[in-house]
Parts: sequence; structure tokens; C-alpha cells
Amino acid sequence: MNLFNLLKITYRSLGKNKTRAFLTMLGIVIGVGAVIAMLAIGNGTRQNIQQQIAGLGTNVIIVTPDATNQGGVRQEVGGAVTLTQADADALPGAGPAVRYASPLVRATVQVLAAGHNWRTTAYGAYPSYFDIRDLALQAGTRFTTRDEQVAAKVCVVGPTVATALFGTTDVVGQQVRVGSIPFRIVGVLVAKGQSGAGQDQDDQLLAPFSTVQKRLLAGTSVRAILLSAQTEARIPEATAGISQRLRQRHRLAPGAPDDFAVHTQTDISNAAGSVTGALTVLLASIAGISLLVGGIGIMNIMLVSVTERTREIGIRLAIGATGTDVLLQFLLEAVVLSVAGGVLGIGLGWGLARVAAHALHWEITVSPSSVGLAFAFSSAIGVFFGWYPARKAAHMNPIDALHYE
Amino acid sequence: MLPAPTLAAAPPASPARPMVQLHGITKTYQMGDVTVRALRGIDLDVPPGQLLAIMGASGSGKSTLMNIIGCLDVATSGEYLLDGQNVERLSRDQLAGLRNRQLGFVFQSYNLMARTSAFDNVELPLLYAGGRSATERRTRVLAALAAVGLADRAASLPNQLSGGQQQRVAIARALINDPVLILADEPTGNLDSRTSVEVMGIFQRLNAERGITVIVVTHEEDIASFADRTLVFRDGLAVADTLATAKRDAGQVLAALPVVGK
Ligand SMILES: Nc1ncnc2c1ncn2[C@@H]1O[C@H](COP(=O)(O)OP(=O)(O)OP(=O)(O)O)[C@@H](O)[C@H]1O
Ligand SMILES: [Mg+2]
Repeated sequence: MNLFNLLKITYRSLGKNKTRAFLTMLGIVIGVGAVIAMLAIGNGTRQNIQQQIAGLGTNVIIVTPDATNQGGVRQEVGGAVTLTQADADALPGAGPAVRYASPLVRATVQVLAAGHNWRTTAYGAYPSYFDIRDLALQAGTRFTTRDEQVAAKVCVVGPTVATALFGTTDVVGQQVRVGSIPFRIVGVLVAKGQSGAGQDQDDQLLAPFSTVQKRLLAGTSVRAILLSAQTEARIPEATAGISQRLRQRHRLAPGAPDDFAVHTQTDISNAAGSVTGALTVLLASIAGISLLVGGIGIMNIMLVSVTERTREIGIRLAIGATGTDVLLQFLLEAVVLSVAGGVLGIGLGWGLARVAAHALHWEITVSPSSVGLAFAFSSAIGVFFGWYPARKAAHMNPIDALHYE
Repeated sequence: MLPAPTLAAAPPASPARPMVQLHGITKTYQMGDVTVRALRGIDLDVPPGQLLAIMGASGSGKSTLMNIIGCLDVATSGEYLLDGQNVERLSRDQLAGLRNRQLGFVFQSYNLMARTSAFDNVELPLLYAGGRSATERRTRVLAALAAVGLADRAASLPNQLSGGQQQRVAIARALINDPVLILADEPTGNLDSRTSVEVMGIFQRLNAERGITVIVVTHEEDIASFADRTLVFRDGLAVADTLATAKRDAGQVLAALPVVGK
């Protein structure tokens, strides 16, 4: 028999068994679609979190108070008083590997201007904070060391704040009231967009550390100290120096635990990595189960129709089909269904990934390896369970196949 | 409804090599402890162009023998020559080729492909045979359907056809590759007497006009009376073998039958 006739026979066979063909394909579509969507979402999550961590700045080191080790009294993280501005000022002396150091405080504030009202987060830090966090300005300048020394009432605002108050980002030189205190806007940040957690990174206000601490907060503790190392390679050297310096300053006895914690970008990225890794495994398991369920569906359809198909094969053999003709037909049918189902499944998975990307504001990409994996697995099931009963039938005596029950 | 068959004189028993030659054919089925001896040594020569009827009680081994002659099953022992060719030495694929091109099988239960039009059913052996263009196939299929009086039902599905019509589609399928031998196992078993005569008329015509050898299994003397020769089976053995003295012409019988509801 020639190939064209085989195609004709296969085409007719699929055409007259539309329900079976549809159900087989459905199993493959669901399996492939689920795997692709789940893996895409998992990967998207990881990429997004890593991007955010990279967005912290370059070679960033963060020191936070370690609330767990304060005289055995557990306190809220960040509410501890173990870190001070003096600590921050002492840290550039922790060694040549440390490039910048800035204390950081935070306050939730109400900002007023031109009759508009906006609630935002104010951060107080040294001008070097812009370098540590790689913050760029679209207009104006940063506040200066001089502003820091005199606790000047100047600030840099994110584009969201500017737009909320003035309807424009062209706001350098404008006056705003933060709480009841008048501030002058000296600069506007470049827009960064939403973070992965759905937080608007452009909704913030930056002012000199002394200004925020004295005028807005009236306290001495700092929320964190942000530093940057000279180079990525020197981060370990810098962290060692920082720890040593802080232990000295805090007069910790040898063997006593640190009352602060030093985090590097690598640490954070690793920690986040293990979380997102777990998430990916979870999503992959869900996808795997869908694949399995789809596979069992395919298997059922194929096995349920074995009797009917065996008799059909008996007829085909009786009128002169060879075993090879029959096998090729069934193999081709299975391949056609698997490929068609696979392609639809890829479409479905891609669509779901797009929907997720849209809903989460993340970039979610479908990886070719997940497509390959899902496709290979479901086609293997489709082809095997389409082909195996056919193989058995094709090796029977025609009369046994005809009388099969 | 069928064109009256023009029945030539029954082909004389030719001195040429027999179409079917069986020597000591046996078939046993082992079912657990029980051994069923379905055929216990059949010797039979069927000359080319003969219309042979096989009769016998239920379970006497008629179908078993037909399946062996039709190369759908293999004998336990014995020798079978089809058109001079020893079938035992052939591979599975060669047997499939024989079934496709030399043999045509007609079953009591029609065995048409479900949800498949009469045309497609008849065309299927041609597709497996290969080597013919779509136009050629179309011409042949329509001719075969016309030969069984179903030219106008090419597009019908099996469930849209009567039993007699389905059986005629099956006959068209059996003769599509110009076989030398048609085997029909109780082809009229599910049909009323008039339709049975019509079907026998088709076999007589194929036999007379195309010289196709036909073997028909039947339980009815009436049906056997359309054959050149009748073989009677009992318990896996052929116990009687008679040449017809008064072979009936199905066309004439049909013309004489009262037409019901037409
Ligand atoms: N596949 C099988 N397995 C076991 N025994 C079988 C098988 N096929 C047929 N037989 C037995 O072989 C014997 C002959 O069966 P066969 O079908 O040839 O009879 P038959 O003459 O065609 O009968 P009927 O007129 O009822 O069709 C029976 O006893 C039957 O039970
Ligand atoms: Mg029988």
C-alpha cells in the first residue's frame, strides 16, 4: 500500500470516530497546557523576584537589627534599637572593601500640595543612598551632604507622588507639606514601575536622613544600614569587616551572638531562590498530575475501544490489509491526534501564561523545554496506547480478531 | 430490481488444475482439557469456475473450513493448494496479498466498516492493493456497486441500508479486486427468502459471467439448489458430495416469485 492511500485510510478513520479522537486530544491538550502554563508561571515568578533583588542596587549589603537576640526578649523585626546613625557612620571605617554606607529610616506620611493629598512612604538616607540603590533622577538633583548636615527641608519624589499631587512630573522647585512641615522638591526619580509584590516603586519620597529622623520621626534608631562593596568580589571581605566593626561597637563578648544581621544581595537571592524553587516544584507537581490525569484519560479511551477496534482490524485483515498496513494506520492516527492535541495544548498553555502575566504584571515566558517535555510525554502516552492494542490485533489471525470479545 | 442473470451453461468441470485442493485438512481447538476436533481430515478438489454449496449441521466444521480456504485461519495439519500454490509456505504478508487480490470473503454478519459509506467500504480493498489512481478506483467501485444493483446507494452508510443491501455491499467489496475465488459463509443466513434468491442470483452471475469460483455455506436445501455441486458435512468430515442434476437459475426463480409490496 502506498503512503497516500494510508493517509486516506487514516483520515477516514479519524473522521468517523470524532468523539474518540476529540477525547484523546482533550487529554493531551489538558496535560500539555497545564505543564506549560504552570512551568511558565513558576519561572516567571523566579525571574521576577530575581529581577527585583537585582533592582536593590549593585553589590548591596544590608544590615538590620536582629530582634531575636535582644536580651531574650523577642521584638518586632525593625523595631529594635540596636542600630544607630553612629554605627552607620563608623562602617566606612570597616575596611577598604566598603564603598558607601547610609543609615535608613522610614515613615508613613501624608503629603499635601496644591490642594491635593497623598499618602506615601518617606525614606531618610544619606545622598550616597542614590548610589547604593542605583536610583536615577529624571529631573533636578539629589539632596546634598550639606542638606544632610543642616536637616534641610528638601526632598526627591517618585513620579507617582508627583503626578498625584501636581498632575505632572515637572515639579522640581515646588513646595509640598509633609505632615505640617513644608519641603521643597529638588528632584524627581525615574519611573521604575510596579514591583513583583504589586508595590508601586515610584510611590515614595526621599529626604535627608537627619531631616526625616528629627523632623518627622524624632527617634534615634535606624531601620537599616545600607552599604555597597567596591566590587562584587569584595562583598565577603566587606561583610566580614562590617560584622567585626559592629561587634566591637556593640561590645559583644566573644562567642555572644550578633545583635544585627548582615544580608548580601547573594544571600537574599539564594533565600528567594529556594522559596521560588519550592514554588516551581509545587506548580510542576500540579502540572505533572494534570499530565497524568490526561494520560489516564487517553489510556481509557484507547482501551475502551479495543474490542471495537480489534474487530475493525479483523475486517481490515480479512480484506487484505497486512499487519504493517494496520500498524502504520494506527500509529499515524495516534501521532496525528497527539500532535494536534499537543499543538492545541501549547496554545492553551501559552494563553494561560499570558493571562497570568497580564493579571500579575509580570513578564512570563514559556520555556521551550517545558513545551518539549509536555509534548513528548503526552505524545508518548497517546502513541503507546493507540499503538499497543493495534499491535496485538495486527498479529492475530484475522478470524480471531474478527471474533474478538 | 436486479437485471435478470444471463446464465450460461454451468462451466464444465475443467481438466485444468483445481482452484482449491485440500488434502487431509484437520483443525483442532484445544480448550483447557477439551480437544475440539472441528475438522477431521478433509480431501477436496474444487475445479475453477464451480459454484459449490457446503451444507451440514451446526458445529459440523463448515465455517472452520471456509476460514482455512479463505486464508483467515490456518489448518492444524494437511495440505492446501490455492490455484496451485501451497498456502502453508506463504508469509503473513503474502497471505494478506492473497486475501486482497485472489479471494473475496462474504460473511453472514456482513462485517462492513461502521459509519463508513458503501462507496468507502467497497473501495477499501483497492486502497490496500495500491497502484490505482483515484479516478480508476472510482470507476471500479461504481461498477462493482452497479453489479450488485446498488449504483444509487454509494453514499449510504451501513445503518441506512437493509440487510440484503448491506450483504450486497459486502459482495461488491469482495469482488472489487477481481478475485478468482469468492467464499460466502451463510451469506443468506440473515435474509428473507426473496432477498436470499437475489443474493444467490448475484453469485450465479459472477460465476457464469466472470468465471469466478464460488463456495457458499448454507443451511437451506433451496439455496444449495442454485449450486453446481453440494458437499455435506458431519462432525468435521465431508460425508456426501453430489453434482447437481437440476441446478436452478436464480433469475428465473426470482421472476416467478410473487412480488410483495412492490
Ligand atoms: N475459536 C474456536 N475455539 C474453540 N472451538 C471452536 C472455535 N471455532 C470453532 N470451534 C468449534 O469447532 C466446531 C466447528 O465449528 P464451525 O464454526 O466450523 O461450525 P459450523 O459448521 O460453521 O456451524 P454453524 O452452522 O453453526 O455455523 C464447533 O464444535 C465449534 O465449537
Ligand atoms: Mg458457521
